[in-house]
Amino acid sequence: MIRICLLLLITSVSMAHASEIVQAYKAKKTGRIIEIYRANPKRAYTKKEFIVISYALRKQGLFKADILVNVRMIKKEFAKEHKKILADIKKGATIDADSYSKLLKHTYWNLMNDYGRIMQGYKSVSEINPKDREHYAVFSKILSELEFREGQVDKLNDKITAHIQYVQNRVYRFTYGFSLQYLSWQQQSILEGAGSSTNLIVTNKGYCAGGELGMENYLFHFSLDACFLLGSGGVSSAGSAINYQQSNVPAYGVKAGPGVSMIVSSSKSRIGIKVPIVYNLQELAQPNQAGYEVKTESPLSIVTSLYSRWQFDSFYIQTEFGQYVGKDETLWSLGIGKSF
Amino acid sequence: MVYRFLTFPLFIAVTILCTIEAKAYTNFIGHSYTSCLNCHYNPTGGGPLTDYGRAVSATAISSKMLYPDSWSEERVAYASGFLFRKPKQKWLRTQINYRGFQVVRNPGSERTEEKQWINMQLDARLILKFGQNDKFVAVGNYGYAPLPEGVEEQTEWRSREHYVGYRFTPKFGVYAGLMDKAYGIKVLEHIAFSRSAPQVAQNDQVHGVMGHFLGEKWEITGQGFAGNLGQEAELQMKGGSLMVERTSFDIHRLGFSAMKSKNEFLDLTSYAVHGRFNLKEGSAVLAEIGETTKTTFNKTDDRTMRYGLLQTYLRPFRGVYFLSNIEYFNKDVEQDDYTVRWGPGLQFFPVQRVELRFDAYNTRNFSTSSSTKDSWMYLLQAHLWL
Repeated sequence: MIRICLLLLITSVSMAHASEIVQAYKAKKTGRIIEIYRANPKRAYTKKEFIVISYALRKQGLFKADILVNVRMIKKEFAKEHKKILADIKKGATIDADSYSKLLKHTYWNLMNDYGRIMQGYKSVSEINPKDREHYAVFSKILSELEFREGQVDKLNDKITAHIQYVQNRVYRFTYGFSLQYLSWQQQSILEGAGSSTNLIVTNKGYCAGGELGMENYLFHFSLDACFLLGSGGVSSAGSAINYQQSNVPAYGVKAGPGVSMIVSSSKSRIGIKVPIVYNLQELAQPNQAGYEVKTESPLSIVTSLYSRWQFDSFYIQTEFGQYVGKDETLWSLGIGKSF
Repeated sequence: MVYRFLTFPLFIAVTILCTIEAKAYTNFIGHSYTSCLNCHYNPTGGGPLTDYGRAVSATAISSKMLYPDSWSEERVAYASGFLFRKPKQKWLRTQINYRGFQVVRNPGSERTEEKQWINMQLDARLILKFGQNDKFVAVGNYGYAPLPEGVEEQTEWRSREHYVGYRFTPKFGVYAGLMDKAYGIKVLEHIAFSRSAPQVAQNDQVHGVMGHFLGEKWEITGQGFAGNLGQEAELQMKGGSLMVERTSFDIHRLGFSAMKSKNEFLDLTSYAVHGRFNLKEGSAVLAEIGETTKTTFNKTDDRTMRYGLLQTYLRPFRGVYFLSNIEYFNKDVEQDDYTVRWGPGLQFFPVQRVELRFDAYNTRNFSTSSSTKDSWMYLLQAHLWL
């Protein structure tokens, strides 16, 4: 008698839960459905209840919990069909998609989407779980074999691949490289005389050999580069007060500074800015005319420059065009390099 | 007779040495368009766009920022037609094109700064096309172009181009009429040394016949021309040109050009090699190096000029291109002196039909005998089309 009463009690409680889940679904109270499920997750739910719970969990973004529900439903309702399709795929046998129930296909679809949503939530490489990718791939393969929502499956596959790639691409990695630039740069000098002065136009050309260190991800490249300048230039007076002219005056120095660039294509071509410091040593001869003296301003100049790089695999061509801060002089360069 | 046929009343050829813009975006190889014929009626590019070219301009080149979010690319493409409409018939197309810019020479100089707004181009274009794949086309392009300083008693309205074309097969076509010469990379900058030295710039169109072959890998254009028949006979540059391009690594183009032309005062022989490189996602590099040998009838200005062009278009976002324009020019290869012009720039297509562009040009002369101050020039340009 006691046993019968207990059985009736359990059954009535169970039925109360069942009706409550359906009622909550009808009342669109997904939170309540989840509460009921969480209160007794291991209970033997019916097919209909599983569907409702799965719906509620997905709606609340509880994809991991939804995976458990769907897996339980497959084990309970479709164990035979599931085993068969896995075996057929393994064997490479022809699959008759129509022989599988529609609900099972939907369940696979939900599972693939759950894993997809979990992976789309990855924000860093450390969050990437190979198991998620593995399971996602299994359900994607099953759905393709069952020819179920093929277009949407492919679309989601692309989306997931792109997101994983994006997460991996965001990681900054150390880079270094070597370059040789042909460049032209200027130097400010003044020819001073008694009571008057005239600017000297010093235009140099030469080569700059060096390298760079940097950190780069798929979108940005932060770098510090330096190179040794070696060249020569011509000098002329800008004014007509005195004629001053020199050619092939040797010049050497260093050009070094930080830069940041934006990577604009999958070929890794980039545009950016650099703020190099140019240290230029160049000795100009004093004029023959008495009373005049050449005064070279500080050999140190800061340049703000626009920078572009066109990458062909690990080799690149780069350009730089800049103006000296607070001065009229400019600098430009065209170079080749190799990055690692 | 031929002359009369080619210059029918609506498109009277008026010869003026003025400045118009060669509207060709050769950098669109960065969008994987290796041949100009994809988007232009003229197989060497420039001039009126095909329907497909207009759709590409709307859906790949221009920004989508001014369209409602709900608009699909397909809808944007349909709105790319003349007056925002999808054409109702296949055989007639009309286009209107305006380009003007503010030029600032020696910016920042109290004494020598010059500012000037120039209405460069206002064109009405008419295209007739018939047959399968528009195998027959007749193109007329008539409009306003400013006269250069010192030129008087000429009209500012002229035919920029007028020609008929027939493609016997998708691979081969013949075109006849007033067209640009087929030579080198048809860059947008009409002041480029690579266009001015071989005389293939904005005002150098000629009447002639052009054969065009477009194969899987090769594109070959040959042109025989009788000069611009609107000019006085003694000025008409008669000759021929050949341009050959080959697709390399599926996405790049390498090519060469040769051209010979002469009139009663001048004989020009030019040749160049060039490359157009796809840096992907809309970014591209264009490079050309060439020489032009000029022989004058009185032997007073005989020389060989050498030029080089390196132009980059880097596209960080749809609608935006950062430019880096580097040019080299040696006006006489016997001399060591040369000029380098360096120009960063920005090109922005906020919406199809609108192009805004800023270019800076820094010109530096290298000479063994003197050192001169750099010269600067800025251009702020607006280009609108319907």
